[in-house]
Amino acid sequence: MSHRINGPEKPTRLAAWTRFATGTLLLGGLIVTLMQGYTPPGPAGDVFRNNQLHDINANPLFYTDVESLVPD
Amino acid sequence: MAEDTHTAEPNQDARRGSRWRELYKTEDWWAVWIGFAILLFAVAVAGFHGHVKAPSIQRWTTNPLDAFYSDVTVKVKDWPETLRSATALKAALPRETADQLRYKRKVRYEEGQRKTSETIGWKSRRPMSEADRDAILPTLASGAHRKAIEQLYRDTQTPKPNFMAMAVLMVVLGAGFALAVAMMGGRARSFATGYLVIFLLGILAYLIADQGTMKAYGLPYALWALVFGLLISNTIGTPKWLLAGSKTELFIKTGLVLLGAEILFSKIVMLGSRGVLVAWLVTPCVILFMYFFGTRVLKMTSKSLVIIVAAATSVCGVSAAIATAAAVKAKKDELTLTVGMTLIFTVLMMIAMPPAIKAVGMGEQVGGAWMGGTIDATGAVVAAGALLGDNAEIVAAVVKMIQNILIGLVAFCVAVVWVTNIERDPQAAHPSVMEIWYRFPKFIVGFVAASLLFSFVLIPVFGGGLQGLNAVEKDVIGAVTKTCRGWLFCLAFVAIGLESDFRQLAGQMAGGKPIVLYLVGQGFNLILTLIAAYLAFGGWLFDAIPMN
Repeated sequence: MSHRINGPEKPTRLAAWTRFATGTLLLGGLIVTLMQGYTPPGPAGDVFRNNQLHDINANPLFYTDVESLVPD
Repeated sequence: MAEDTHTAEPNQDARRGSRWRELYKTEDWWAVWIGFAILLFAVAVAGFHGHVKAPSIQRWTTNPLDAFYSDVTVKVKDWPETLRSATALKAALPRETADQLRYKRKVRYEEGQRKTSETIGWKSRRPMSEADRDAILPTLASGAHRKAIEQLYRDTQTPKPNFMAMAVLMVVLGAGFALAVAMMGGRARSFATGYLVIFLLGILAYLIADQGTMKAYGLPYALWALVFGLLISNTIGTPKWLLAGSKTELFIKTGLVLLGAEILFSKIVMLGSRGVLVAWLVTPCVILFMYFFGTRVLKMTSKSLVIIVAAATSVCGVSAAIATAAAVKAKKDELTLTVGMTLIFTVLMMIAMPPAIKAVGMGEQVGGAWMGGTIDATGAVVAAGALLGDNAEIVAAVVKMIQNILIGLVAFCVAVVWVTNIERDPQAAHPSVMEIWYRFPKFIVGFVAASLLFSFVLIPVFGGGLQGLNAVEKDVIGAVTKTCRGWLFCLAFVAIGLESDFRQLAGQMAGGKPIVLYLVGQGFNLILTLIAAYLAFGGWLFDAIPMN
């Protein structure tokens, strides 16, 4: 592994790829689960449900990314 | 950040001798050149009424291919209440048709006036069929609405794919960066291979963030880009060929120069002074409080980590963290930690604040101002405000926008303080103005220059006042620069993930001090902003704004 940086100290190639595959599967599972639109019950899920209902994008980081804050 | 070429300390003669070489040998200056080339292109296209739109990933629901096709939209007025949501549409139309159709209502606040606009849209990958059109028309009574649907039907017959435009953007940006890499003594060909894979990971990050349901959660592309990078670097390790394309500094700094152009001071005049009271009075107090709390009380050794967390908490989350981290040349792990913390707490505050405000019976405007001043990301602010009502949404968004504008000032001031005080040898004499200039991060100059140029030169050139502001926001920023900036930040986050190590990240946690800093700082922010919100919108100093 001398040609790589940041990786685990000296894992075998198989162990490293097993970790990668496991991580990818877990991450994929999380993404697919989130995409189903699950929302927590009660007030904790109110914002998510309102966002889904009115198609509100909660992702923008800066105001110019918010559709409703810039001119059409 | 930490690995900057300009952070090296050669002897003074050598440094002065190579001053001019810095213009084409440092990432800071290349960020300025590439950033301004993009800005110039965008202004020229808008000036000659050209129709260029930088490609972005579009919202999609079930088929990811939809993300590569632009929506078709038509303006409507007084769209029937019964169709004003995805649920209502689904109830009124066949599922397949309803999934394609979108209704969007925008509520804005301009020059003391509340303005509403409505559009209907259609995902253009699949043209609207006659059956789709005939399913919608019976639900509409008004002739104007029927005309709008007929127009939508016509406009959707020619799908607008983004594939080619995205490839062109990737190649053009890549060519600019490859030139920079070559001029700075690197190998352009090695860079290109890694860059290509990083761009593809960036597309994947955007694709996930822009799925219809994911947009509701407030989990932006930055998070997914970071996670993909971390997954690779902490399992199989980042290969050297991939690392060669990982020019984090260059991506971030170029993105920041473009972000500078989005900070328009005329916006403040348009939005009014009350938001300034909430956003600008509190922000400097919170930054100073958090800096002294982090360095003196918590005794955190990394001052750069303290200031990044402080800026992210008090200004606008991820964007402020990026700008400040670049200004103080922070380590990548510090930025990764701050961004991760900010994103998690943003979602938590977006969930918790609206029910809390409702529970105590706080007024919509005060609640909106409170959320606008405290929740870090603008998207989450708007989402939380929308749950309380239109007035809360408008006030929250206005306060946040005004706070967003502070990002340039904060980055500039932090860079000056770092160069003149923090990085300076305490035994050395106070540096001269020229010495400060040599050590000053030059991309900040591009960042501030872009903001001033767009605010005070370009807006008047485009007609001045609200007309000029709207033209610049729509035709220059909206069409080209903000999309390019988004791509650059996305590439930067993939690259940061690829260069971050969980063990170093754990080291940055230092007994949980960064979390304590965030929580105490955010607590202080919540208290101070609440007082300011009552002063500005709750009748303590001014009456509430009539918005009906």
